[in-house]
Amino acid sequence: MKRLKLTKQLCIGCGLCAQLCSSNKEGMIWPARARVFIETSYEQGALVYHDHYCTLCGICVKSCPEGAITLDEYLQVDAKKCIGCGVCVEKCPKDVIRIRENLAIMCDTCEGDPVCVKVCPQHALRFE
Amino acid sequence: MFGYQNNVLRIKLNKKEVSTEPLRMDFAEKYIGQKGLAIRYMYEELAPGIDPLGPDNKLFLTTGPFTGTGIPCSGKLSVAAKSPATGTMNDCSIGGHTANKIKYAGYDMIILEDRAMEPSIIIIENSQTYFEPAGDLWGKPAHEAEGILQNRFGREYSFLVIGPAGENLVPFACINSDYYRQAGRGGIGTVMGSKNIKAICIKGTGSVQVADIESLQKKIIHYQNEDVHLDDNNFIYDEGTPAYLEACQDGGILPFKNFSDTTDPAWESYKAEAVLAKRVGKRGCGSCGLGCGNYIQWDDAIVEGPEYEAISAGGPNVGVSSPYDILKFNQVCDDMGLDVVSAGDVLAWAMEMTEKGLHDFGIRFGEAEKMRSYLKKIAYKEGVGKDLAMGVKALSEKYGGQDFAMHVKGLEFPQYDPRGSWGMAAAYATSDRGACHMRAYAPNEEIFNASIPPYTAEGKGQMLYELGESNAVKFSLCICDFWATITYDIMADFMTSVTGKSWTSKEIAEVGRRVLNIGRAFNQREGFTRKEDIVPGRIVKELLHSGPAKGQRIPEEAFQDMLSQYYEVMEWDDQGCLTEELLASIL
Repeated sequence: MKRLKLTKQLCIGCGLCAQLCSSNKEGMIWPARARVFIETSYEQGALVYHDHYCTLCGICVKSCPEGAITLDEYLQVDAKKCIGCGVCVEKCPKDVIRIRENLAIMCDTCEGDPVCVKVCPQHALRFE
Repeated sequence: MFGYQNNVLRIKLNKKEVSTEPLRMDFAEKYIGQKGLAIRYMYEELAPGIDPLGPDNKLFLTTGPFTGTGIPCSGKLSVAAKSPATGTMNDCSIGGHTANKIKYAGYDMIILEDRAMEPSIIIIENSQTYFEPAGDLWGKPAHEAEGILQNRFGREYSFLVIGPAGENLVPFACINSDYYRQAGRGGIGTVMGSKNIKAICIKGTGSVQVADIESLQKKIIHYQNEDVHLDDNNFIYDEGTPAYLEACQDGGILPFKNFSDTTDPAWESYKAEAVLAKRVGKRGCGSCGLGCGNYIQWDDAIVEGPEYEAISAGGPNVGVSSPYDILKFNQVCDDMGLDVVSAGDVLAWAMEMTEKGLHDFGIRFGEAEKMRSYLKKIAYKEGVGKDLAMGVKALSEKYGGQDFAMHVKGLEFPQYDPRGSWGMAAAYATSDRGACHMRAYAPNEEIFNASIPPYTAEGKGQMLYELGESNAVKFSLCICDFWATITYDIMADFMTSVTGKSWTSKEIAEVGRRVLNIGRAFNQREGFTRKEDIVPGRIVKELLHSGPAKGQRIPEEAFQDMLSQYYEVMEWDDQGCLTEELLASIL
């Protein structure tokens, strides 16, 4: 199963991953609503990497009390079963799941063809 | 129109009044965004003759239709005002992530008017804007101040911060963002200081809508992979602007000891490999795929940089050759909120004055450690710093040494000696804000590409026009300088997807020409004509001693010829002025 992988040292913090993710999923450029949050910042004299992206660890699948999340090559949320309880949000070790309008919003690797990887200018994000 | 928020945030600082209004779309249609749009607003709103440091000047933070869209290299912000250094218009371009944050907060433009009653900070959180006293932040170096703000507000915010130099109205003060990015030139930080604003803190979590998101996404991925990473652009990731060092030394345009020569025997000690030896990371601006920023830690010298300009201004031009000292120069300038170019040139001029016995400023070429203490004296206007804080134009009017006071209209020279690249003399002279290398970058054609002979006036008017038009429209879109291979066709292609109106490359070119004209028109209204389009005596009188440009100077006739050619291409009169018809056609 292919997964997103990040080589931190190659990331220049441009934020194109979140911009294109949101444009693909929301129909507008809206990084705050992206499903990948990778950025860098300078903090107290250090270059700090913030790498919130889905690694397909499957913890959300196992923890969902309604059995609404499935993983078969990529994650899918069954909107009929999801009650927006937020357990997956709490359990996600990478902090990349959000609840909007009582529905869990998560990365589905663009159904196995992630746009964030296509646009990553320094190939810091790969899908392999 | 798509791509815009159609929203301007106007802040009247004296009354703490905040209002929003629609963007002038009639301006946006002609000038697109950023540089061009800012100058058009300045032309409209800044009455002729106002005091740049008085309440009538305004500070314009301007984005463009590409800001926040993910179009590569579109992350820069235009910061503009009338310049206290030159009295001309002044638009600066600052990297980092602030431009995207402003756009996501819902604004195309933020305009600061008048002056806060006390030193203050402005906090903009999407649709909410409020003010706080600057308190202890006032007087603090810029990095320390930004660190305090970052700890308090978090990394969802971006910050525009001035150092002590801006607070103390040194006319070459800069604005910092993301610690290491600067709107550097022409005293743009001085204007912010004059408004009693220490910092602007911006959080934006909204969206940008474009006309055709699907085609835009395809184009972004296509051009990102097929054009942005061509070798002509990629060097900026591999080495960044320190790569220019060798090219300028070899090309005979590297300033040495206050532009007294154009090669430095010690140049290899601070060439790109030497300076980058302690690089610990790379960072780009928002939406940028190239990532020019070199994060360097050399003992206590920590900078993202140094850029070519800082290496030269803090290195050969002041007789310094240690990479550590150059890094410290860069760091202290940023922290004090001083423009590296002007600050370095001021020290270089003072060193030459001292060594020639014309006036003892107590500092000589090569005194790197003393330079650091002088930079602080300048920023706080203490002792000798009070004098040096005037800039080379006013200093040379007071003490002499005008022939080697390297400035145009009060803006100190960037780090390219025009005698090795003649077109640069006319570029500095005719630039819309005094001596600037970002308007028409002549060395690119005369030296690096060698597409036109450097030591002649022939063909230079047309060359300057083409270079100037291209940058004027790039900076209005805004596309960073470092996407060097972008064409008008690519710009038009993006504009069509973003705005929904079909753009042609011809229309893109027309915007560039218009921007050159509106900048000139602003300055013309302030009284600038051909007689101010001059370069210092050193360039026309003194022969270079070494390197490929050995024996070169630019004879006055050749210099005037270049000006005349350029005016003719621009359809200005022989005094370099727009006719009434031309002016009417661009407004």
